[in-house]
Amino acid sequence: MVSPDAALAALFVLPLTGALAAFAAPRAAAALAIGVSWANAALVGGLYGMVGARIALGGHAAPLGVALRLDGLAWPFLALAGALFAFAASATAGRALLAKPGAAALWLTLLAGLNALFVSADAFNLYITLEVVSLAAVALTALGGPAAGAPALRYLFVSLGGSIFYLAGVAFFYRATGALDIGLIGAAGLSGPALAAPLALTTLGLLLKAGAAPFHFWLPPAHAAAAPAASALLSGVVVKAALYVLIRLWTDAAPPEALDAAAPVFRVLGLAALGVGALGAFRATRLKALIAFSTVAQIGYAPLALGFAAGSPLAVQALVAFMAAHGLAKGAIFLAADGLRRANGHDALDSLADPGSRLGPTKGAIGLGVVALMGLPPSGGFLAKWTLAEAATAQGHWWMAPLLAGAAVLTGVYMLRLVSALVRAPACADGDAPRGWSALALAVAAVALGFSGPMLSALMLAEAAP
Amino acid sequence: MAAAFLGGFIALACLALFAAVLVAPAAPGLEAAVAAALPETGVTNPVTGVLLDFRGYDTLLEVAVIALAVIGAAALAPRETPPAPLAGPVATAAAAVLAPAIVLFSGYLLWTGGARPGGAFQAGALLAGGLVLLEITGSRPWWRRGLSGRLGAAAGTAAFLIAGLGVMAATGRFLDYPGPDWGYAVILAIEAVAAVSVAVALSALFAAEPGDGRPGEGAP
Repeated sequence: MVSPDAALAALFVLPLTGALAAFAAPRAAAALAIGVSWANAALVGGLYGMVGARIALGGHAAPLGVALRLDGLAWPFLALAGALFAFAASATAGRALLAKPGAAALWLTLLAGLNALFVSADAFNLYITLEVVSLAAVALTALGGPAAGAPALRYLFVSLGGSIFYLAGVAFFYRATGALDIGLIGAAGLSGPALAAPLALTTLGLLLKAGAAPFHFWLPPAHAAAAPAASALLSGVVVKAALYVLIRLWTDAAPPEALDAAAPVFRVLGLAALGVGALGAFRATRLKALIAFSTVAQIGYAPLALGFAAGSPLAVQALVAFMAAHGLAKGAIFLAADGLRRANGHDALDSLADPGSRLGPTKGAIGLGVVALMGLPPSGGFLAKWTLAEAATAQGHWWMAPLLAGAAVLTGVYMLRLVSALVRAPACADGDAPRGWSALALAVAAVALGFSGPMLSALMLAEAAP
Repeated sequence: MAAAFLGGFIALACLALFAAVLVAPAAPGLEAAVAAALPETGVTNPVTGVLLDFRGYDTLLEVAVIALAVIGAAALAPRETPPAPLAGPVATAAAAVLAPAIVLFSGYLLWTGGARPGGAFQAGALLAGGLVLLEITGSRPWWRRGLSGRLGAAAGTAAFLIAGLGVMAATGRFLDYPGPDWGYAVILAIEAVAAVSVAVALSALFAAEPGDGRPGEGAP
């Protein structure tokens, strides 16, 4: 039996060691990245049995030391990252990216940073993990080619700006409580400006990093310019890292009254993101830009659900389902879009055509991915919307149910621009295009997530335990 | 225009927030708790105790961020183009005099970190200055390039990981040093490797330049 100390340490030791090895031995780097990504997915699968574990790194308990905590909120995000990294690495788009010099080491460093972030229980440690994630993500974005340079640089500046706001907020938390552990900050029972100021600063920083409206301006260019496999990770899980920290702070470091007071702001931010993202998706002319704007819209579900999460574990559960469903579906669609682009030789939305029957898995991935993004039953997106509508209605906000249905229609309408390409003749065929099994696997997972309701509820209950 | 207004609004809001927090009472920090637990660590400088023992995991990730910067720079600029050397007699003589002194002082900073201000980052930064000096006078050491350069930049993180796993064999917990004597030895070993590694990494960042047509060029 592996101890929780060893298993949780392995979450960052394994990919970080892989990254250093990939950097030192470039010739073995791509194979190393694929192998370690799959080993990490297996490790995360095994960690399901350890949900509830908490360890003190170096044997020093908080407030002096840093704690890692694997709870019901952390595990779904670890699983999302694990699945995305494994399937994206195996996909043709992933192998193309990993063949570039340095990409494999960045890939594994990004995985190490994400794993470390999802299990961190310490506000300052989270800052460092956010730095690891941002730097690796920016460098991976820049590997997209000459056109990716400017968007990557803007991403870097926005991300660093977000870090500074976040760090200032953490410093204020420490000044007011003498603690950096998120649980201890929450237990200090702050109120008034001593609570509002650090919460506002950290929230501002994290919204910048997540690309949540109105701070979404940097996201579509960066996600559209990156290499397809990198886009799958960026949209699928990297933006979720900042949102995850946001959920952590508002549910663990702040009392429910504070979240209740801020709820209207979060709801407005969420609705604004849905609108802005949809508008951008309607106007996009390139396939990847459409998908990237859809990410702007889908990110909006996080603040929207947070706006109903005060004292409502059900809304947090909905939020987790949204993030997981969007992550898997978006990973699938970005990978499938690469197949579609290779088969067509271009990615102009108006003239994309059916890639032929050989690319059946790719077409299936797009179809299932759109189902999950719209939130049609039985997909993970449907589970998320149903759960959120339930949580909101229980709080008297009956308008959420029709609104979520309307958002599904909106998503369907702009995603139709992509789906219509699949039925548009004449068919073209390209022997080089990947068939898209990895994308299909992720899309199937996004739909199958719809059956994970009981599992998510059980995980959330595990989270509630001390 | 709208962006300027938004920026101005955010700046004003931040100033108000800072003011609001600074007039509020501050909680006692962790100085007393650090002082009480310091004897376990084997070092007498509380900053080193926090960075290398209590929050050693944070420092591991910080060292990894430095390695990550080099990994990213190497990915975007695979071929280093060293600047044209300053080969004049003044520069060469200055490098010949300064380089040994810099090595000596960075060794001192590393050693003294256990008891007084100093440590791996300071020693590494100073040493990096020395390497940059060699770089611009055209006498870059051979081990700064190629495999040994990459191993050097990765060594700090690797040493931290190896030390963390090594003590795990004894205590069962990652980075949990067994007792003050071992703790001091492990901390000094990590710091020594990290100092050299930070120096190699920072000087590699100095030399990294994107070549023609590489990503990273053409940014506004």
